[in-house]
Amino acid sequence: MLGPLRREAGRTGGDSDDGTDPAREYLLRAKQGDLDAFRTLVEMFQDRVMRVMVSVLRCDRAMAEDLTQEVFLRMYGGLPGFDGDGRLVAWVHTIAINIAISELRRRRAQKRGRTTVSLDQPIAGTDDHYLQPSGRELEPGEGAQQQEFLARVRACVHELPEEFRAAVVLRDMESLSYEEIAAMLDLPLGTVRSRIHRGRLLLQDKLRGFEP
Amino acid sequence: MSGAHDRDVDERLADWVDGRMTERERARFEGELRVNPKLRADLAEYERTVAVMRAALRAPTQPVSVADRVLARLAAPAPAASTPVRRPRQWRGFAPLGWSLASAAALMALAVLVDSWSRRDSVDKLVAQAPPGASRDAAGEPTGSLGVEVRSDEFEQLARSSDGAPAAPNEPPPVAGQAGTEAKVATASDPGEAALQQAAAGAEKDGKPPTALEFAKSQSTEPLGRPATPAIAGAASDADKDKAEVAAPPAATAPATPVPDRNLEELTAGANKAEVRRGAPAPGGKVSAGLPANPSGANSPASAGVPVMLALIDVEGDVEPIVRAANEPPLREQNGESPPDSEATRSRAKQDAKRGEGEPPAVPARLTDGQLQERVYGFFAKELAANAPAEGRFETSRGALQLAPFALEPVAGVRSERNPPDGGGGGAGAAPVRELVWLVEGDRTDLQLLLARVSDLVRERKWQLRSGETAIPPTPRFGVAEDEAGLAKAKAAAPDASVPAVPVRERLVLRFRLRAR
Repeated sequence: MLGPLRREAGRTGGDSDDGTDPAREYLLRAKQGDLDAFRTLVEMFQDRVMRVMVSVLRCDRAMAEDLTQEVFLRMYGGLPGFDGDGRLVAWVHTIAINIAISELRRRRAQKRGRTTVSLDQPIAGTDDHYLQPSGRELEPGEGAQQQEFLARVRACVHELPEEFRAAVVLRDMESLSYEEIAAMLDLPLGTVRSRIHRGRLLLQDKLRGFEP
Repeated sequence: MSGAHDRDVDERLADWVDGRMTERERARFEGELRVNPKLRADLAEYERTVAVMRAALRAPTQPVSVADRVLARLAAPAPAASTPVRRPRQWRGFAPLGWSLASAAALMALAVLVDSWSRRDSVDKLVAQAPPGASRDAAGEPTGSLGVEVRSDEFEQLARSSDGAPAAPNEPPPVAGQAGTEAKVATASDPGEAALQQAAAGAEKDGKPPTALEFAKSQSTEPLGRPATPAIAGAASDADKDKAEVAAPPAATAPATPVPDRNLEELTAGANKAEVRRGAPAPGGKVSAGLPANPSGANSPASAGVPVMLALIDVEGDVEPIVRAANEPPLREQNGESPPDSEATRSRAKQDAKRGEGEPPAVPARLTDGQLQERVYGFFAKELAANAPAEGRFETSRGALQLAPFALEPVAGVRSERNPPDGGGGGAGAAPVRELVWLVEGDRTDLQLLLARVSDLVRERKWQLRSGETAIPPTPRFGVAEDEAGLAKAKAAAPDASVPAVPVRERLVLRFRLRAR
């Protein structure tokens, strides 16, 4: 009962088994102006950044790509100042979250308390960012049902309130540690813990009755 | 924790799943799990939820490739895109709306002005009779002021048709929207601006119809109130109104201190009683709060007047919510009331709809122009003002924002892609187009706030914005330099007078074209 989740918990992603960051070499070269190395870094992180954008912002693919691009441009601008002490993946996520938060604030300022639906907001459950699974034969209907359920889960995540959504996504999608999330969101550790927990509970309530 | 387990506050579930417990905490938790079946069930469900969420969020995604774009932008010369342009703090949020809205406007505003041109005579008479103390040349020409030059075949045609002779009362208004409308926005630094201003000043002399800019500038030295007579239902004709306006007291009898409302009442006395009744006099101090008096008492030349923005909000949508929301006389209840609240307005509209059993909803088709004008006016007074308005005059921290309807005409036979007059829009049942034109005067910031609010309304009401856009150049509104420059200029223009520093006052011609869905 206490299985895989606990075993997975210690992994935060981005590091190799020996604890070194595989991107560090490219980082050092990119800091020296090597654009090829920087391209490699972009290719290493672009999917993760894109997923963060889609999940945190509930935006469509085009906007997520634009913002992802902005993340890497900002990252490039900040390379000289990045000392490399911290994890690169955490730094990239911090930039992404900062941009996402800016975007959220911009949207919030636009909405100013209204409850209208943004036109660029994908309809829940119809996001096209995720792929159909491949690699095994599925029974007729099984794949559709499973995908529908997963899409429903993602839609429910998207429906979480902003403050919970960011914490949950960073933890459960990006496997970032509580401390990293706290640093990114500029929140106390206890608040992060609470938001993650409460976000999951909200999701749990939303998912009741939808499981396949 | 004993048996009383509250999953909402038991963040140990998260600690357990995320492996954040110490050995001791974990031992205690496992001990509790053994004796607490509810905790076990909650933990199982919690773990399942987390597992499902992780599976969903970590599912494979479509490949992304932004590397090329990123590198292309890095290779691009000049402004590194990684440093976003910082906006002044005060514009965050509404600025994009304001800009886009304002830019959406100008193209078709020309149609408004040309339509209004048919009423030029009456407006000009009002302008000529306005109190001298209301001129604002002391404020100086603000930097970055707008001039709008209009090029429109349609407007030229309309202007020619109205040149020197008002349209016949029963003559249907000209068809608008047929010709492509071009609008060119020029800043004050545009060399064409001087020519335009000169043309505006000399338009009457030449006997040529003024352009939209000339028309707007011809009014720019006068206080804004209710400069023209809206087409109120029951009014005999435009000619009658014009006569009444001619008979109004001349400006020489007006007090030197600008009290625009009162003067307007005097000016419009006899023109339309209903109109005058709505124009409840406001305290003079408030009225003139943002409007520096011209100590010389003379009207300033047109070229030194308040710059005019032309903005047109061309919306197509359901006007019924407006009518319902503004179902009460606009002025009856607004003085001293709480700030307008769209939610409250909507709920009140619902209550009105419920209360009015047997009374059909006030659809636009059943309203006269005057009624619609009045209701829409009330609607905007409620919806647009950030504070309690008094007859279209909204006090702001920078003075007063004045909003005055000066034209309202149903435009017959307007063509559009959605509602062609030849049957595509429903033939005889085609929805009439209501044109609502508002002359707004106030500080540029207030105007932009107004535009932002209008933008919100357009989206809130799911109207369709159909016109093109023209940008209002941003002004460092709160920049000290600008205010000081304006003050210095104002003082130079009137050295003996105590001229308040009025930073940037502008006029905005705002047109709504509302079409019932």
